[in-house]
Amino acid sequence: MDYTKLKAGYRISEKQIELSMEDVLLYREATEDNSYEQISDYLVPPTAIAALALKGVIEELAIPKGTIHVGQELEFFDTVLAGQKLTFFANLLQNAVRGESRFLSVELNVTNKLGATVMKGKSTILLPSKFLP
Amino acid sequence: MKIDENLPIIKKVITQSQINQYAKASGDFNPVHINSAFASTTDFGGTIAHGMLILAFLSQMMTLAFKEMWVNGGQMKIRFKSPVYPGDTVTTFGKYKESKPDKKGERLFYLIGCINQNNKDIITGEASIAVN
Repeated sequence: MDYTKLKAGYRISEKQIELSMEDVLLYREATEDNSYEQISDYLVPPTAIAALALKGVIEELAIPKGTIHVGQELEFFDTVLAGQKLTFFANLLQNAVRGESRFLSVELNVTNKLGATVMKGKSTILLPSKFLP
Repeated sequence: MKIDENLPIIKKVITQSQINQYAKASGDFNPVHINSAFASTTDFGGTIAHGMLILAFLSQMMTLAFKEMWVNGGQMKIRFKSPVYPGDTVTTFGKYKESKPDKKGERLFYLIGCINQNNKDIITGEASIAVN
């Protein structure tokens, strides 16, 4: 991947995913999360949706070894339960070199089967310095 | 909960096993998290936890405090300030900051973050919820 050629507005990924209860349990176990008990046994933790959105970015951009996640913004608009089909969109917002580093800012948007947004976000990642022009 | 109260604290000791589990759950297999040989060649000097794993603890704190108000109307904006290594203890914090009018009523803002066992900032930022 030639990161120097990526322009703002580039559609990085668009994927439909159905979150299974198994996926949700795996995530809850890894994050030691029992906060779902406050809402529903089937609740998908909102950060699990964000993590999946980010996974699409990691895969499609072939994010190189040593990349660091430096900032994150998230907005949650609706409860998501296991079994729901979601569509994950990721667009490049910014590709900038500052000092010795290349920063990519990515806009995340996740919608439900009705097309309503359930989560929006912005991730900022820092590529290793060898990916400078 | 009164709005001027501190949010519930979540405290976790991070292990390499948990980091590996998170890699599997999230699909993020960046070797800086799971490959000690590679990670030792980076500026970090060893494996570090995924930022999103630590961020999940902040979302848990917000869910415990605000239940559906968090998953349906919550917002957060944070910076990852320092890496978390296996063996580190992560403690969350959240403190009421202010309220502002929102298009649906009012939005309550909290200063949130995580510190390690040496009181060093790991994550700093702000979260808010809408109250009608």
